[in-house]
Amino acid sequence: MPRLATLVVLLGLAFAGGLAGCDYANPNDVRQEIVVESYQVAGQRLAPVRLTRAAPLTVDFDPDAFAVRGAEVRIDRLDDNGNPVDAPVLYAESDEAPGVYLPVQTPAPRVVPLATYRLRVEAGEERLTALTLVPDTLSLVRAENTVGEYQSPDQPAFTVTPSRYPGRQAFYIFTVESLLDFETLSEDELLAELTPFVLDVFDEDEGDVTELRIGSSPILNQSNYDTNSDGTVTIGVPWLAIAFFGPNRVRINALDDNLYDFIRSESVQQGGQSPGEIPNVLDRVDGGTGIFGSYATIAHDVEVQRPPSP
Amino acid sequence: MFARRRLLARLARLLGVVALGAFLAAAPRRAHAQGDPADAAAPAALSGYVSDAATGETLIGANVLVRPVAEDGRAVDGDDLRGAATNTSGYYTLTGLAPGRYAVRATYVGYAAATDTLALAPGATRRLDLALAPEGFETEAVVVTAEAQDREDARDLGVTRVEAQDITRLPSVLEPDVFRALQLLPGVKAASDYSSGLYIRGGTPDQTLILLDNTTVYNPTHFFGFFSTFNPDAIKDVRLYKGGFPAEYGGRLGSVVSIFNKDGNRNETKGGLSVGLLASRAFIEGPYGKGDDGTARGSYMLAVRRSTLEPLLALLRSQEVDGIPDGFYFYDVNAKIGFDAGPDDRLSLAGYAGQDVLALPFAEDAVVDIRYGNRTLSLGWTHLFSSTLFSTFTATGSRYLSTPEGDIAGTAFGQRNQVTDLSLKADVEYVPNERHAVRAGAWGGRLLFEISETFDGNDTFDQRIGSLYGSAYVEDTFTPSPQWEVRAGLRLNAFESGSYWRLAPRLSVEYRPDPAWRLQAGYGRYYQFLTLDTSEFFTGFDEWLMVADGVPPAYGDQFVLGVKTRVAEGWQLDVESYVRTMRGLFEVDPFLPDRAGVAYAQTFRFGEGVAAGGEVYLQRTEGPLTGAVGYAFAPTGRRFPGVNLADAAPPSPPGTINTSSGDVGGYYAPRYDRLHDVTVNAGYSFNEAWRLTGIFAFATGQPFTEPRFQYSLPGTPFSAATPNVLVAPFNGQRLPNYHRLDLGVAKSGRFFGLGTYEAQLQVINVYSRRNIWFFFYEFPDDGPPERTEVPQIPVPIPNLSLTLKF
Repeated sequence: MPRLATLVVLLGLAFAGGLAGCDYANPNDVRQEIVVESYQVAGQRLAPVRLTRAAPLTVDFDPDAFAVRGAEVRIDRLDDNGNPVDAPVLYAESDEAPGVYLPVQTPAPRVVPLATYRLRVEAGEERLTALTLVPDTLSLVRAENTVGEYQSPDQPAFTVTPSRYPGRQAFYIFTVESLLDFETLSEDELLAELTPFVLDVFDEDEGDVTELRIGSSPILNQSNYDTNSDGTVTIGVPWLAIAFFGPNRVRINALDDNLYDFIRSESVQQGGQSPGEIPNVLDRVDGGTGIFGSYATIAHDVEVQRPPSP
Repeated sequence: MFARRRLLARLARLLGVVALGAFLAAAPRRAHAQGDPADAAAPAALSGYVSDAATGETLIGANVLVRPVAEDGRAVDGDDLRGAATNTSGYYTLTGLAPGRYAVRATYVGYAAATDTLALAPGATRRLDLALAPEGFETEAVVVTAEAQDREDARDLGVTRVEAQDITRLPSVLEPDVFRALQLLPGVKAASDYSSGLYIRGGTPDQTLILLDNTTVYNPTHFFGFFSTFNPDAIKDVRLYKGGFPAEYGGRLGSVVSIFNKDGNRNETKGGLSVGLLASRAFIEGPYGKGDDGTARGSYMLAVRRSTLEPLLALLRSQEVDGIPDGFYFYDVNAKIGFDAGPDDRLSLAGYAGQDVLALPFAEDAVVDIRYGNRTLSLGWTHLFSSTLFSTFTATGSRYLSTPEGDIAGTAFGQRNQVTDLSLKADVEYVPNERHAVRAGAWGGRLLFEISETFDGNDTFDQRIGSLYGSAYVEDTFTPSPQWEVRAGLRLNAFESGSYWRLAPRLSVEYRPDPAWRLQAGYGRYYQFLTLDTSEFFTGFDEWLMVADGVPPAYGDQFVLGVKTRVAEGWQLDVESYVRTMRGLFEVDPFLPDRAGVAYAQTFRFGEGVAAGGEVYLQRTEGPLTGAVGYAFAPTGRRFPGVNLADAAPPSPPGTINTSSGDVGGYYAPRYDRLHDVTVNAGYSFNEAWRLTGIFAFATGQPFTEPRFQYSLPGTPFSAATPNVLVAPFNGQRLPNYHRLDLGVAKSGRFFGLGTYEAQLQVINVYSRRNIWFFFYEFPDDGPPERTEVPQIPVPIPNLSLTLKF
């Protein structure tokens, strides 16, 4: 009997082990790819394209040191069938910034809302392509409470015509940029202008207060907001978004698919999943990585006043 | 609406079938109850309850053996030994017995055998309730010593049972815990020292059905996942089906944990009090009412537990230590009352309520208040239609409610997350003859998941999804000979949301070439209609979601092989191997930043999984040295779209945002995967007063993601800080191996003549092993990224407790 049982045990383990194969924790090959960085803005001139190469983790990533130089860069505007509408806009590397490519044509053409643009890069043997479908512009209809006391019941609010994007609702990111003079104010003076919560959580040893100059919201869907009877939406600015007292510029940005994918996955990479699991970003660059994205934006300034001392 | 009516109609028909079966099965009882003198060879039947002589608690899985004997009591020649195990109500049934005299012997681990001799007339059905004296129980000046026994049900394929007393004896972090005890079994793992979630044979916690007195518990955690909600004082029985579970259970892909609370002492009133570092517990149980025979008509049990951290928190606050919460506590209450309505009817009402509260002002102008908890209620009725037809009917209610809210810098936010599950359940067990034991049942109910969110004074999300659900099963255990047992079952699952009907076959075969050996094989198809969105960091935000149109149920097959044997007196060896598939896994898309206005089906990503491995479990249950050694080889893989870089699909065209559909890519090892896992737990009783316990665990390091490349995007218009991006093979590396030793010593004795006491001193992580929990990467202003390690429990943690029982 023991002989039979031993046989069954061995068969069972072999059965399981064979089907299990081996360890699934295999380090796949990842390439040291070319990184694209370009943000096209609806209605504005075609923006620069920065090309770098991803760096090993053991070194300090300096964009200039890892710049991809001497590449051929061009952007096409495509029609609905994917064919170029005009001759491509050629880019040339800037003399001042390694790896930064600027449109040769001056002034550069404006980015057409709801149009598709294609980036093509040739760098030695490497070929990169990326497409972006530009969101429709949005416009500001009304701004309320643009001057007010911090945490007063009357928050700044903006009524806008919503952006459109083919096949889906609009995705927004809101940014609040402090308009304090960061060039002349000392660090202590800047710290004194921080709102109480931000001041408390900011660690001077860990960060630079200038990095708080622009803060952004998570991605928010159009459906978060009720549509007014005239088709506009009213968007309030939560006090949580205000890092500095004083003048601030609020931007409402509508994102294309590329920025949507990149930003949402990059935020997960920063710690949104299980501990120790670092998912890669979702990029839409064929042959490389990074972001070739577009967005539409509007801005309005607000003045956030310090509440009187209790 | 039509789908709901159709579902109800079919469920009603299924319940009707069960009831009809019960009626038909009851009919022979009336014919056989008096015996049939015309047929001198008509088989007889024996049945009854097996209970603890000291407390009157019924014993689940006790063995009852009958052997023919001569008039003078001597054994007769032949191999006519017959046996049965008690069910979850402590009831056994033996049918097809030839008329004659029998010696009856009931056994149970930790108890002395109970024996009796009786004569069975042709066609007779005889009720014989048996009471077993527990080990150490003094009766008529004799101290009972337990015998070496197998637990029949605990040696079925994939089944393991944990003794309630082991849960409190084993070294534990701050508080004895049912799930931590289960994690000592091969194939059952925790994600970390800080998580009590059960990862069983490659499955995630949501793939395990957690039942308390037949009621589903949706968030079985306290302290946001650190340990489970189940109070060991209240527990009578914990059984774990690691895989290949029978047709009686369903709705989950992986496994089942079924916990039964104590019914309460039916002989005398008893109580206890336990004081520990984290929490204190108290319980009382006893009989009430008296029947005509002087025995109790029923019993009750009440067990309460509450954390006792407030003095420590107050001290820390007085020392102006940062980050101390304003409120941080949990409590739970278990109560059960049983009533004997007659010799064939028992009623019980069981309830559980638990709550965790955290009020934390974590910065200037910022506070969060988190509350979550479960409530369960079950009303049970066990009825004997006849000696061969046992039935249970249960009405259950379960609610999980979480209401995290906060206010940061004048911006208020909150969530209300509620799960409500109301159900009716009926099970019958029918033993028509010695070759067949039929089980059948139905379970139907309504499930409702409600989630609403507010931000800055606005309602930002409101989702209410509900569904009727139902299932019915039938299962026959066929015993063609004493050596062979075949269990075949079929389970039909129905879910209103999405109108899904799924049929799940189950089959297991056991061969016993001799009494010491069991060779087992099993197969089952399993379906899961729910998924859990949870975090290893924090379970207070757990969110359950269900199938719907466009979100079909996940399904999988399990193949299991097992060998169980008694290698020597007191030593049991279990070996099992398994292969599992997991198809159509659906989980909330982790990359979805905001689900407002997103179609329900688009909020999920769909993938696959596979797990295969082997487990060895060597257990010693007798003598001063008891314990077990478990080893598991348990690789598991998953694949979801966009995760494995090497298999990434090409960029989708503009206007296609759902990158979670399409090619699922290649397999990767999830974080909870462990190739090799060894656990040794042992206890040594020096004498009646002193006992030493220890646990040693070793495991292959868990997978983690080690970045290979990095880049930054200095031109971003959305932040003044430069985003830094990592490029990494997902979970391509493993952490250093895990190992840890925990020790405990207990001293017990009389407490001033009032009762007994047990004082425990335990130390977790005795030799200060700094096991790594995870790494994270920071980007300094100058220089390359820096890797910081976050340890699991890094230092020895003492645990003191004192338990008094009266």
